[in-house]
Amino acid sequence: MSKKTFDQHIKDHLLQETETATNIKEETWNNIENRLFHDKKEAKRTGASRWFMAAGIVAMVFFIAIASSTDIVQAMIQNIKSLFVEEKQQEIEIEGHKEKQNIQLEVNEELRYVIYIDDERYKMEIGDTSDRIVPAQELGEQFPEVSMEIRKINNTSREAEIEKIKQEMDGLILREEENIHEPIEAVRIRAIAEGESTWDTPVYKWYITPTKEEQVFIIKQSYFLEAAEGHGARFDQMLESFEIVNE
Amino acid sequence: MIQKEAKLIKKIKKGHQQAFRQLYDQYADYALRTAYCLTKSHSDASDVVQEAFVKVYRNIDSFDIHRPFKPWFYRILINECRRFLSKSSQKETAVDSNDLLDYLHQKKHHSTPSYDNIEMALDRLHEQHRIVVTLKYLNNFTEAEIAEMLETNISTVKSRLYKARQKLKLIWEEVNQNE
Repeated sequence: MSKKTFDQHIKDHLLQETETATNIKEETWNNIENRLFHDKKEAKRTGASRWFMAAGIVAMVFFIAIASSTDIVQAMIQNIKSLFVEEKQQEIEIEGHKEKQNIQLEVNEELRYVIYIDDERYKMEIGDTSDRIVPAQELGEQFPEVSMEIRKINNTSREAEIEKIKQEMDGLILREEENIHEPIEAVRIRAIAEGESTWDTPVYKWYITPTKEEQVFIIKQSYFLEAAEGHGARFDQMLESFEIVNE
Repeated sequence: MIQKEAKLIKKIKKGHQQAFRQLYDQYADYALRTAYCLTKSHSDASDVVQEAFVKVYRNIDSFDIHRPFKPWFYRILINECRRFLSKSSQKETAVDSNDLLDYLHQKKHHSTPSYDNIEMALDRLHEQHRIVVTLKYLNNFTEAEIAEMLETNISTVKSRLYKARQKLKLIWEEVNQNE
């Protein structure tokens, strides 16, 4: 008997013997789904993010005022939420130290994006035209601004927005402009304030996403030199989870 | 293919549940077959695969998307199988070839088809031999891939495969002569 024939016999046998195991695929998935996602959702109810709760209250008030149209909005939010887990844990490296942190899903239905934020350290502020992630504990007046702003611009292109950012860079020195793939697919522009660099020299980073249906997202990070490995690194970590939700 | 998979994993890292389901669909069939082959029970195979996928999801942030996913996944799966086997009451049956032949001689008056003979022989292999045989013949992994998965060197894998194949062949030929 040739080696090939014998090997083939083993292969055939293993395939035949294990054929029935594929019948438990769906049942196995249901157990995985229950453990990973349904349990999480239950846990989330006790630790819901402040922003989402606030948004829920606003939505409820809104419901009473105009019932029919918000039914649709709420259904859409639920639809987006159902695509993502609401809370998860990730390991990040800050200033050379690894740390585990719980991150919380934030959904903006109007701008149609999601991002996970470290809600122990940061909070989400919802604005009319943009959202801002800022430190949960206010920094003292001696510190320059620390924030990550997420803005969606319609009827534009990435090139036009890059040009606008550059034109508005009064008092800043452009340090970098490059196409990047991490933490998101974007063009990144980095600039710092003119003058001698000190611990509190403001630093700005813009991430401009590719144009899609004449829409562009601009994420602007503001912090200061000494906070580059702290807030700067944490912002990038959160930004890694940023995702645009298509219609 | 690898790029497509990397995109899928990137989405999972961002918490996308549907992407995780897609990944499950791609790997579940052979994961269940592998686990069943090693545990010999549907419900145990289901538990092992469930545990492996839960571990994948919880540790996906530590996975480097520039590396292939399959060996990483199978390392987790095989570790789960081993954990299960060491916990279960099924003791590893280490029988040498002569004992095996005695066992088969006793059975020779039964006219058994050759698949049953292979089954019998496989069941009596060392756990570590059964794992390499399963990975090689069921999953078509190369010796190098198996070595990476089992965190051992390639010559150990080759040696285990050689010994396993010799035992299986011996039993298989003996039984076929007697039939």
